[in-house]
Amino acid sequence: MPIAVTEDLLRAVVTKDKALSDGRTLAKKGALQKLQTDAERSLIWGECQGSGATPYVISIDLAGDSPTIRCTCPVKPPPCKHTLAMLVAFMEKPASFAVAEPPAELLEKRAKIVERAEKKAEAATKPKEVDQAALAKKTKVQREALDLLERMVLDTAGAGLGALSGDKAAKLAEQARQLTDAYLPGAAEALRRLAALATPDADADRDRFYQLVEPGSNLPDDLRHRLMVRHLTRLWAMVRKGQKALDDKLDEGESAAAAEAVVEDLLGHVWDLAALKAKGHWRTGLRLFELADERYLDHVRGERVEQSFLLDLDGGDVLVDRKFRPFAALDKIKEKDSYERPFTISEAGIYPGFINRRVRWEAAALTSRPTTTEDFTAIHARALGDLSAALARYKEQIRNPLAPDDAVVLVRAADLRQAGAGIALIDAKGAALLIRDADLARCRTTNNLAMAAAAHVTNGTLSQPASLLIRLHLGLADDAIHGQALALVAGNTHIRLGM
Amino acid sequence: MPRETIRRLSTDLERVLVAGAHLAAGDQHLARDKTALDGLATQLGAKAPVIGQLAAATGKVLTANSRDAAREVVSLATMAAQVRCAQAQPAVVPAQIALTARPAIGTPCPAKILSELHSALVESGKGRMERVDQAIERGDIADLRLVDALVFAMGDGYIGEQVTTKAIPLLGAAIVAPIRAKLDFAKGTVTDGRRLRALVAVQGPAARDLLRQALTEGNVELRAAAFEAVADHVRGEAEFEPLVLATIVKERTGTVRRAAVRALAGFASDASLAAVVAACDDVETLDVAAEALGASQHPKAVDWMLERLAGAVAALPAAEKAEKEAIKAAKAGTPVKAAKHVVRPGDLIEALLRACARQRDPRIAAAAMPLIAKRGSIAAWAALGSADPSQRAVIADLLDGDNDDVFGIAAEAAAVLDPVEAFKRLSAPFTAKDREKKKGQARLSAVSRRLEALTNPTWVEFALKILKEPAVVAVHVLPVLEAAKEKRAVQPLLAMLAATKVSDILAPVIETLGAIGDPAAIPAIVAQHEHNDWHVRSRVKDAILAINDPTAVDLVRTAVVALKDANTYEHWHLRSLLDQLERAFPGR
Repeated sequence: MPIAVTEDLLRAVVTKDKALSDGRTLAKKGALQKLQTDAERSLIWGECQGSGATPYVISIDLAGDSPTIRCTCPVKPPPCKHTLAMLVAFMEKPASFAVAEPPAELLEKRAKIVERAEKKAEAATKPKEVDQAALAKKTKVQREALDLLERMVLDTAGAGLGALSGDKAAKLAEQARQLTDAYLPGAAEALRRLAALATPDADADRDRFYQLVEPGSNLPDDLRHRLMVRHLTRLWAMVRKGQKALDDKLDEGESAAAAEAVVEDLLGHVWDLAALKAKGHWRTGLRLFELADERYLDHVRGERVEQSFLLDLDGGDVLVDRKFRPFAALDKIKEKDSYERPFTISEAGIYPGFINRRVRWEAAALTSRPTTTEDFTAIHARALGDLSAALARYKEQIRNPLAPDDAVVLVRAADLRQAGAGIALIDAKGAALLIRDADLARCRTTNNLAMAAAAHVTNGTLSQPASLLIRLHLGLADDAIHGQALALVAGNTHIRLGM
Repeated sequence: MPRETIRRLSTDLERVLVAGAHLAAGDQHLARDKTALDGLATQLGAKAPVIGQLAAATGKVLTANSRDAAREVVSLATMAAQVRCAQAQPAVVPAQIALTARPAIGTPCPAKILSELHSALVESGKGRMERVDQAIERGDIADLRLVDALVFAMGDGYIGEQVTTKAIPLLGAAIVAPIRAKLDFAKGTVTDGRRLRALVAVQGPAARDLLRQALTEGNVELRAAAFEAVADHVRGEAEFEPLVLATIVKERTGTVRRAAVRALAGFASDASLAAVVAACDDVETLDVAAEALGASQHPKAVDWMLERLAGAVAALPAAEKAEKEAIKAAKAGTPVKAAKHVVRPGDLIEALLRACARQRDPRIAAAAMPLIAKRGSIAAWAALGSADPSQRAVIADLLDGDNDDVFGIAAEAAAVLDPVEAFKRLSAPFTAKDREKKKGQARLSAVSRRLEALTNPTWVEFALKILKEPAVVAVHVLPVLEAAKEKRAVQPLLAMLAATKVSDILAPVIETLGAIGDPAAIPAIVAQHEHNDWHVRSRVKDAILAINDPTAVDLVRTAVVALKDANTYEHWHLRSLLDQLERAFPGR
């Protein structure tokens, strides 16, 4: 079954919006010529007149999980405007493609792709052939790096976090590079975060508009130090966990999924979709609704983080679609799309992990559709009915010292009421949770929630049904659980609160 | 109890980790924590084995030598953190009150644009005004998630005024609370002035508490802003009159006094009239006082204006003579004492005539008509606005004269005559001998501005006929075709478009084609997008949007693609046009 060329596919494959816009123009003004397709309509090829004397030769293979796009123009990587023009033409006027025998060269290329895919699939299902020598070398390097990290943590603790400033912090950040080189990216990042907190940042406007180098660096010293202690104990837990992971041991009571997530984070394991499928981290016909979308610059990682929180309309999980774009390649890597319509993923890999597991799919797997009232009915039905269930799941997660210290959950809101500077989320049983901006918030949303909720208040109470997407977090000052609002769904209205 | 003990232990460990782990051994606070943990371990026993583990680990910390101290402290802190997380409870929720119902603010801004727009509002850098302008135009800027940034941007020296006057009102009543929270009467900065004006613009009289406070306690910035806000947004609200009057008496700063006089315009009391009248005697406030008199509802306002007008007219010869003598003396080197702030009779006459033009009283015509010869259109406008119909034909006759200053008012007077007479007088300049010469063109320009309201068949047929005349003549008849949306005009207009590059002709032709709304005109309009005159480029965008046809998307996109550098300011209109078209016709 060839990949269907739809608007969703165009949006998924395009790396720059302008290229798609230009592609549509080229398609309309008749720049394409000799358009042909095979009988199954899974391979299309032709030419496009560009600025040079010779037209560019284009082919697009629509077999497999994602389209294979080729063009002889100098724009790399594809898709260029010429190939997008061909996709547009194939979508809008499929009859303009004459059925023909595909050139042997394209069939050869396809055969190679199929062969590679088969090998990959086969490799994913088979127990991996391990290069024992390489593994031993890598493990040795990692173990040495963990020993180095252990010494750094102990030296820092011995000298005191209060003494960690200026040069020492810079040295620590420099040493983090050694951890990256030794395949410990998670540990390297945690070390850099600790170093970034050593220098206080008192610019109120930078804080307010989410431009801090590291959230928390603007906090009063007592809270900043508390945060640094949290990072230090996390690093210590990484050392212990890393050493155990290298010895292939699980902690008592720890699930294999949680361990996998930790190892991924700490030791830099990179999942690919085939591996996820082989391990059973796989879903078909996954119906998702994007409740919130976040984009921010993470100066410690040196990347722009773009992530969507997606509600599984059938299972009720809040999954995360996350993309990291290095600052140095912002103009080369496509910005993640925001999904303004609900969509279905034909096949998706879901990473092992905690409450918010990461989800990935191939470009051609997404089909969007218009929002209907049934979607909102499903959203309210999937929201957790009472706060205690959400809090229990969260506490289970944060018991693991290496798990993310926040979790995004969707909760039914029987009411929202002003509570001091925050908002009280009241559930159906009358239990309340304080909603306020996290100390480490990348974006402040409490005022937005107050404004959004106030528009849905009737006779002093929140109109029903209503559900609130919140990020649970531990307050630094009181060690208590708070929520930060990310989105409000009131009846059939969806209001995104963050950015 | 265990929770408190573990929390205390964590706090003590934090202190030790900040100060240095070598200080842990023998630490009194940790020793106290160990005692407490031991007690709890005995009490809870096997129910909570972790307490015993914590007590044992604390014991190790207390007895560790300096080499092992760090390891023991970090291990204990990690274990304590795990236990603390497992015991975490929801935060204490303070006393609650119901949310007050407020109007909704949407979230129309797409995620990809949102952060860029947010940056434009809160950061410095190139192209910010352009991004903000576009977002205002699209309406994206009225997004809940931008409220904080918009309130911040009101203080921006570059985009602050634009945000205050154009973006903030789009958010409506929902923006009130965030702006009120920022308004600082003690500081009273320019930004606070903007905040005040924005609040009054959105809230109207409901912002009375702020206006009262600003007028009574505010500094220069706030007082000026408060008066401006009264004048622009709550004009004539009786409750503000005593406040404005009380403040104006004490006001010394020129800018604030001018704003205060403007604010008095809507009030009809004797006291307000007296204050405005007094302001006519000051050069600094004469123009705003005249504006206030023109808008005054006071029954004696016209009496007073006519009385002062007569006085000024009578005093004029002597004043002019004195001025001439002063000039002569100055040339001869004799020192002349200049009278500062004293209003000259000539200036007073013109200011009062402008004020009279806004009042409807037949007596004004009698006073103004004799002044037309010397004061031109100012006097004629006053006479025409005076509700004395007998003067209309007389003023309309001025269209046949040579004084181009009065052509505008003459055309206005002709347009309100009966339709047959109006057609006769207003159509004549189109066939006059001098129609292509300077005077004739001035006459046609004046007539053209009155034609918009004339869409009867006689005028439409006449306009179609005139389209065949030279473009400099034909262009003046376009308002008729535009108002009538006359499709028969499309082809002649396209021919005009093809035949000229003069922006004064192209701009109105494009505008008319846009108003008629025939998609057949789109290619010819888009072809003008690179014209070197900003007005033409602007009309191209407006016309295509007015036609609102999906076939424009491709043409505009092709034009954008063909540009060498589409990101320059000259191409702003085209990019903005494409952006709006792609939103209006998604997927095209």
